[in-house]
Amino acid sequence: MATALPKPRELQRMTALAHLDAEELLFEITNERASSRASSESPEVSSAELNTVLASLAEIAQRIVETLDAPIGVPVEQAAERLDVTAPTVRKWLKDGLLQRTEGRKPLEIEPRSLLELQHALATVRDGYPARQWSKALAAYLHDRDLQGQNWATKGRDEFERGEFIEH
Amino acid sequence: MHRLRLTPSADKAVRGLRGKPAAAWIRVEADLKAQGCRAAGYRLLGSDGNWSPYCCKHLYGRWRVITTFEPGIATVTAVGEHDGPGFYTQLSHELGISDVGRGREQKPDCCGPDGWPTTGDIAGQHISDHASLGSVRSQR
Repeated sequence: MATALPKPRELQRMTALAHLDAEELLFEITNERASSRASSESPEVSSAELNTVLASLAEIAQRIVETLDAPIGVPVEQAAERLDVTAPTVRKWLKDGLLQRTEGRKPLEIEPRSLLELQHALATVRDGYPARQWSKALAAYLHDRDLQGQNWATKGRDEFERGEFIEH
Repeated sequence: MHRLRLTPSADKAVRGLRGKPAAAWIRVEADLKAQGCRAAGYRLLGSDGNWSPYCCKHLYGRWRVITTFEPGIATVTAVGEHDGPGFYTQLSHELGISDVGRGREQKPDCCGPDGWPTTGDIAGQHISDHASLGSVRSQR
């Protein structure tokens, strides 16, 4: 990521390009939805077709990310809105390490990637817990996800699913 | 008593243990045969946030034993050292939760309230159906 904040004119140009790409992304998705509805009588989409669409969308999204390669994070209030929590909760999670701040930004801003990761994790656990337990629940979830993602753990699980055992 | 079986990679891992982890494994192996899920540590969460069918037992240091159960059968699916890369390393540092799970406060029993996973089926069970992760028990 770039480290210096762009000058206003450059920022304006980047925003315009990103806006254009975002519009294109929406346009592509709208078209794909329309195509999907039109072919609902034969809904089977081949893996190759799906991959082509996903590649196209990924390319546009990547372009937006590259265009907006500036050390600008998400303000706390916007992060709170995205996560459907209060701003103090966002600050607490930042302090707890569940979110990461964008270096050098004042007032503080949240790294977009950490925000998305937390949003995804939160979606998996928030139904099961009262809000006051979220921090602990998230920590437990992330711990277990990490443990079960270790190479040795996935290898063992694969063997288990294939029914490969040695009696002791 | 329970039948005990290991996946090939778990078997290889325990055969490679030396010193204190090896001594700990001898105890865990005997306990799993005698007690099933009651000796298997705490239940892990799945990627969907609900209970996974796997449990985790702290062996020694970073060493972990991951198990799952069927009626009368204890299966060790994996044995290995838990490294804490990336985001979890940062999290563990900030929260004081060790990357070996030392500080994972909530350790719900591997056995469910109805005896799972020694018996029964976990299909459809949700975290909120059981004692919450707030039920803290020492599993080490």
